[in-house]
Amino acid sequence: MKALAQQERTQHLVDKLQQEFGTKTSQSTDASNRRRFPRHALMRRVVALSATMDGTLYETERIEGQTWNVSAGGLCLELKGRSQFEQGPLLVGVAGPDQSLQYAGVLVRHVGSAEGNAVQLGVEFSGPTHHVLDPNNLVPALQPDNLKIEFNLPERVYQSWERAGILKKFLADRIQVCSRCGAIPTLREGCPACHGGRGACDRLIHHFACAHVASVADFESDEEITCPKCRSKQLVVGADFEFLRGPYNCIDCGASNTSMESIAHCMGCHHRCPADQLSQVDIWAYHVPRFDPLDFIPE
Amino acid sequence: MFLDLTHWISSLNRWDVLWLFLGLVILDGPRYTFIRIVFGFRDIVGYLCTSRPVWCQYNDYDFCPSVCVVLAGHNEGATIGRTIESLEGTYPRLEIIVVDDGSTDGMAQVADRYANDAGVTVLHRPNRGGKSSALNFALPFTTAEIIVSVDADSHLNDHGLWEIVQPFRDPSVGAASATVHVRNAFTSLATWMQAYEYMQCIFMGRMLADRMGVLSITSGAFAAMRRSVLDRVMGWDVGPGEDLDLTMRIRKAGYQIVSVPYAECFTDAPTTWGALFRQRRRWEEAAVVRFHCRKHVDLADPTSKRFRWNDFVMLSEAWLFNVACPLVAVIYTTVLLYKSPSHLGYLILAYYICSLALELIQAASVFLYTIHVRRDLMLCLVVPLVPIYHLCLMVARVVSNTREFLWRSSYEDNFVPRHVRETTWHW
Repeated sequence: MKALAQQERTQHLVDKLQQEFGTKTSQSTDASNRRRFPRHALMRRVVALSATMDGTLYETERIEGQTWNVSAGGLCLELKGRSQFEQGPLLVGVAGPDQSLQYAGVLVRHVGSAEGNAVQLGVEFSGPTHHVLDPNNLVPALQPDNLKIEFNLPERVYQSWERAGILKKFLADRIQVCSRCGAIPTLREGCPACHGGRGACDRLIHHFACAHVASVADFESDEEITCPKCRSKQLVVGADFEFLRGPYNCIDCGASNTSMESIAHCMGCHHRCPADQLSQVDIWAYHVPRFDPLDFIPE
Repeated sequence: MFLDLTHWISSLNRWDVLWLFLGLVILDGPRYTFIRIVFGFRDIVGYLCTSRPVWCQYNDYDFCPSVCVVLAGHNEGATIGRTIESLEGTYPRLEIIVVDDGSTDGMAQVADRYANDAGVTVLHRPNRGGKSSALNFALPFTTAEIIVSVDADSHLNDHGLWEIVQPFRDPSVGAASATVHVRNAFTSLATWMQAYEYMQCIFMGRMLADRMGVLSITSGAFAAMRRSVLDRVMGWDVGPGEDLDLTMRIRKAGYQIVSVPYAECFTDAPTTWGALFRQRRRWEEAAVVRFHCRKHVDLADPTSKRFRWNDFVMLSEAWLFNVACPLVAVIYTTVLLYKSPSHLGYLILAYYICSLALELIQAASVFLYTIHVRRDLMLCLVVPLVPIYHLCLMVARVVSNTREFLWRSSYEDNFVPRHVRETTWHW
């Protein structure tokens, strides 16, 4: 069931991405982009990796090349060792001033021939790889369907990116989750015996004259307060006695406890347990050096 | 000088000797010495016959009821942490309830540090209500079979809790009294004298009183009560002297009170003579007149259905030696001063030598039973001063008894908060 749900979710994501970005390009769209974003010359080494429509990288297939120009919407680059190239998602690593790669997720919009065994590509900053590089997708978030802290994209996408050495893992948080299903619990003060949240503190009376301390029920007699120890009648609060906070009584199981305990209730499987029995899990997120075209475009 | 004393004693006629003996009797020494000689002789003979000490520690701790230690205190922030630590891990079925009785010195914050420890519960009362109600306040929070009260400024020996619960395997036992030792024994002469006195009166005195069936007190510093018995007598009454009062009410309910000499508690004693005098005045006011002569006088009523001879003996002893003798001692001294002022020096010297001899016998008897031989030997170094110390305490006792008889001064003691002592029953 879990695998099936994951597969459906992945398929849905692929369909959505195909709808959003499409795989067909036209000269007219390319021309309109060219008009919208002025181009600036940029001669840098690039490394490109192809990706599937859900963003999974073909991490072993690295293609070297160089950029020709950059705009706010995309890049023009030349990849060596290829005479043909299919349109689709691509991850491009552009060498920075210190020769370290900065990554951009792009979608190939235009494929042209170049001198020698090379292709010239016109790419825009969009597509599934661009989606993976979105900061919101690099940190796990609460998933509304199962109330777990998970990534928005399938795990294999991140694994392929991590294997390719692009994503770097770091510890983002450490949280308590249900020890049975891993979902997020809610916490309440509850009964240590049955873990129920319904209960109340008993009210005690301290009779000054004889130091007797007992529950209010023990003092109630014929609609007046009478001390069961010394038989004093018609006691007056403040002058003869004071109220004290007594032990906690559970409505569900009737247990009387010294104090309440912090009880966790899982929002996923509705399992209840003491808070100290929750599982502690590390939340890992990803970091990536992202290519920003504005760094290369003069004002 | 001793030659002169010998000549003076040999010149006394039989009436003078009788007077001298009477003086010794009212000074309290001979009765204790006599009892110790009797029991000591019996135990030595028993030991020689069976090679087994008659009175010793429990060898097997095979009785393990659930225990709740209640630490009730007001402004005990400096000591409560050490007390809790001394208890933790010393007994398997242990819960500790700390009751902060309206403290203003940060005791609540200190106690709260231990609130997350397993088995430790901290209860706060914003307004001070007195020690008795603080102890009673803990009872609804526990279901333990044995309730142990320990002073918040004391600590117990390693096996103290194990020792004190063993007598409760006998269902007729309602309460057990432990031994209290002075923790700061060698801080000053006053604490040294008190340490010696505690050793004689609490360690030895209560053990022998138990064997005679007349034990009437369990120290509030370390005592254990059966929960069902506490529920029956409805807990502690308003103090001071609430420990004595509770013990007598447990006796009245028909239960036995036993002494557990090797369950030990170490507590701090007053370090100055003035503080000691005030403490003893408060104890005496709250003890003999208030409880033995007034509140629990019905224990000696032979027409009562609950009348028991050992209760009668217990009360008679208190009346005679704690009320009558100190009073007679004052009259006796006055008469002596009037009758033979020229021989007063010899007389005092004779009393001193006799009292010292009796005290030495008592001190020797301690070593038949003690497990702290070196410490007790050190304590016995003050034996030469003990007769004078007892005389001073007797003065405190006369003052206290008089104040309580005439003005019920124990009800003015700020040991209990004003709103409680103004409403409590005046016996």
